[in-house]
This record gives sequence, C-alpha cells and structure tokens, in this order.
Amino acid sequence: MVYYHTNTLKMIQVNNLSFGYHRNRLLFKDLNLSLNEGHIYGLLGKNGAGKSTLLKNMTGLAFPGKGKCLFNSIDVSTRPVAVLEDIYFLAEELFVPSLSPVQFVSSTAGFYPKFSKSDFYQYLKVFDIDMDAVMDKQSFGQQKKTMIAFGLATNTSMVIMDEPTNGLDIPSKVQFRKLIASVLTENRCIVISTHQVRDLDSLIDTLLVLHEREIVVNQLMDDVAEKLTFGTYPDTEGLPVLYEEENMRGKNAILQNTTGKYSKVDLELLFNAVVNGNKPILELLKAS
Amino acid sequence: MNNIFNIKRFGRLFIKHTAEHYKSYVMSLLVLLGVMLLGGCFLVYLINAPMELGLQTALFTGILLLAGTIFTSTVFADLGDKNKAMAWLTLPASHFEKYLVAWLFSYLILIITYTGCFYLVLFFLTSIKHFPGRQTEVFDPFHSGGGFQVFILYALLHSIAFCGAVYFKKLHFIKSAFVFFIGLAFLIVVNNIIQHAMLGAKVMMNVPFGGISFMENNTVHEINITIAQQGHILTLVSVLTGIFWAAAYYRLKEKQV
Repeated sequence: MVYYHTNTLKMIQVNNLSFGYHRNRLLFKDLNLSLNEGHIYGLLGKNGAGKSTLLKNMTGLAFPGKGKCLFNSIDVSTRPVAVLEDIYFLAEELFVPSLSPVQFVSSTAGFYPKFSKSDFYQYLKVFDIDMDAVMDKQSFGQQKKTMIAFGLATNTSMVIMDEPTNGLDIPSKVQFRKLIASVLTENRCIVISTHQVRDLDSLIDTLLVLHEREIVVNQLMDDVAEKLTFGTYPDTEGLPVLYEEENMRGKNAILQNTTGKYSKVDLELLFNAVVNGNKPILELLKAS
Repeated sequence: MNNIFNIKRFGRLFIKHTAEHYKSYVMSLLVLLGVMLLGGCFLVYLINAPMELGLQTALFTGILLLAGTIFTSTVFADLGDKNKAMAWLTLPASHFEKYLVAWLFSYLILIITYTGCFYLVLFFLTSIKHFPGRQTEVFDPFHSGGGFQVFILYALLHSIAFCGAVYFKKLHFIKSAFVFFIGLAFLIVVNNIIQHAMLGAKVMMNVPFGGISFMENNTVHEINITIAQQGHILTLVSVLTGIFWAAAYYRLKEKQV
C-alpha cells in the first residue's frame, strides 16, 4: 500500500552531505536527498558504494564532514533523545544480548514511547520465533527476525534497515515482505538498503540508487514504470532498446515507454543498467 | 532538559545495563573475592602476626586502585565492538544518562562493593588466627589518618581509565596505563627541568606538585610542602579528575561507528 499525499512531509533531509573515512577520499560529495513519510524506499548500490555509511549518517552514527542530516528538521549528529526515540535502525550485523525476547522487551521496549508489545508478539509468531529462547544462542537468521519484529513493534516514524534479508531463509523473506507492506502507515517512512535486488521486488514504492558518490536515481516505482518498459524479447532488432542483457530465453530489455502501458519493473536489470552508466536511462530517471 | 536527563529513562537504562551485564559483574566480584581471600590467607600465614593498620591501608589502596581501574577500563568495552556500539549509541537515552550509568557502576557501586568485600575478607582473616595479648586494629577508610584521600586518588585514576575506556577500541587497560605512565614520566622530566632552571642547582627526581630535593655544596636540601599546601594538592587532583571526567563525556558524545 502506498500513501500518496498532496503535501507529504519531509522526514529525512540530507543537505550537501560530504563524508569520507579518509580526508582525501570522499565517499559522498555534496549529496542531497529527501525522504518523505508514507513511503517504502529501496536503497540500492554496489558493494562499497556507501549505502551503510549513508544510513549511519542518517541515524547519527557517523558525522558528516560537511553538510547536515536532518530528521524532522533536527540535526541527527547530536543524537538527541527525541530523534533516537523516533528512528529505529537495524544494522546489517547485529548485536543481541544474552536475554530471551520477552526479557529483552521488558528491558528495552520502555525506551520507545510508541512500542506495542502485542505487535511484537504477533510479529514473533509470524516469524515462528520462540519468545523464551535466549537470543544469542539462536541462529543469525532467528536473531535477525527477532530484531526486525522488535524494530517494527517500536512503531517509530522512521525505520531504517541495512540488508535486513541477509541470513533469512526463503519463507522468512516472504514473511518479511508481507510484514513490511502491512506496517507502512501514512506517517511512517521505511528505508531498506540491500544489494539483493530481488528481495525488494513488489515491496518498495520508491527506488534510490547510490552510485559513484551520489544518488543517481530517486524515483517512485510508478514513475519508473511510466517512463520505461521492461520485457523479454526473442530478438530486439528494430526496437528502441535502451539497455539489454542476454539470457536463456532471449533478451531482457529496457525500452522507453512510449505506449503509456505499465510493465513490471525488473529491478535487477534496471540496477545493472544504472551502475553500467547507461546515459539515456539515467537521463530519464534523473534524481530530482 | 528531557533531552539531557530524565529520571525515569535513567532508571530504565540502569536496569537494562544491570540485566545485560550482571553475570559478568558477579563473576568479576567472585574473582576479586577469591584473590583477596587467597592472598590474605597467604599473608597471614607468612607474617604470623596481627595485620597492622599500615598494611591494611596499603592493601585496601593497592587492590582498589588496580581492580578499580581494570574494571573501569572495560566499562565502555561495547563501544569497541561495532555491532554493540551501534545498538548502544542508537538506544534512546541521552549521552549523559549513558555516561552516568557507567560512572555509577565503575566508581560509586565499585567502591561500595569493594569496601564490603574487603571488610568481609579482613574479618575472616582476623578471626581465623588469634594472637593472644595483641589486639587487632581495623582500618577505617573514612577516619584513619588520611584514609579518605584513597577515594580522591581513586577518583583521579578512575577518570583517566574512564577516558581510556571511551577513547580506545581495544586493550583499554594496557593502552590507558601506557599513556598514563608516559604522561607521568614526561611531567616528571619537565618538572625537573623547570625546577633546575628556577633553582640553578642539581635537583633530584621530584614528583610534580610535591616537595623539592636538590643538591647544593655537596649537601642535599629538602623542601617539603606544608599541611595547608597538601589541601591545595587535593584541590588540584580534584580539578584534574573533573577535567578527565568531562573529557570522557565529550569524547563519548563524539563517538562514531
């Protein structure tokens, strides 16, 4: 479900962000980005593109060298409690204490004013997690599912997940997608960063692509489908192909949408086109 | 104010910290008790006399400074682990509340539990062997000659270890101790150079802010500080402690992952 507003509020605003772990090697230079409430954003990028670093800047875990990251107009780099209470960040590699989910909730839920215990236990049930098992004795996938359930139950306005599907089995990935789609409200914003492009299929409503130190794509999926047509063709000769890849059945191709008909966006193909620097596609999808 | 300190949130944080760390803290306490008990039994057997006040004071001070600084060095160990650091830094509590929980555990609670353990062991040691006709005096850190100063000295070393715990990612105690001794050696050398320049005589190795010993006409002269000046030194130590505690707090605020 996507919430379209006439006046969507900017939740995260990244202004002229420059950041680098080394002073002379910047990962981002004057990067600008706005994330609005009521959306599920999919942040894609190659390994080492800086997805995790961007998310850390957005949650106050890393401080920009230049520029600012604002959450509801508050600078996140000072990590004020008002911001921490309303943002949940699920890191790729997570830490779980030697407590059961029940004990963890009783010691940690109180920090989040909108936390719902009933939601948490319901999500645990969906993921088939034993609520009395000690978390650090569980498998990585179980730990991740517990923390995803916890993160969603915090009911924070902003949920940021870095590679949340890493370590999840196929049924859990399906449950994850269903759950994410069900928890989006018009006042909530969810950002999912991944390099497993297929995991975001039919889940995200806005696509962000981070490539070569900047956001090269920031488009609603509907707008992508309006501008581009995706399809598999036995032969693409004579077609106005913007990008194509060969496969066993023929050619997966991206064409400019001139018919006005919507096709299903092939995220993997689009991502490959973007990171290969396909200029016509980049021009069409130019990040605003 | 709510963004800096909230008693309810602080209480929650304290309980969370206790719930997640009590096992390792209890184990550390048992190890400390074991070391004190074994070492104490060995000492009683070796000296074969009632433990004098001076020895009790030395043991109380020595073990507190060593055990306390080792413990303090580990109190921010989570920040050295990327995954734990992210969970800790994004937990909705202020830097001050997080700092205060660590401070309470490594200073106040440590002193209380350590003092309790020390007396438990001391009473055990004084009761296992009696020396007829000789009464055993028991050390009182709050009233024995200058005993209270132990806690001020511990505060200084605690503040240095606290800084090291926030600053370093690994080997906190070793690195903090290394920096401390290097700093101390540097201070002593600079102090002696300044004293030499001031007096124009050959000065001995003097500790900063203490007395001066120097040699003139083949005679060693000693100038000691007065009791009133000792009060100034305590003030100076307290100020230094405050500076290191404040530095640790600001370093914590700047922590990145």
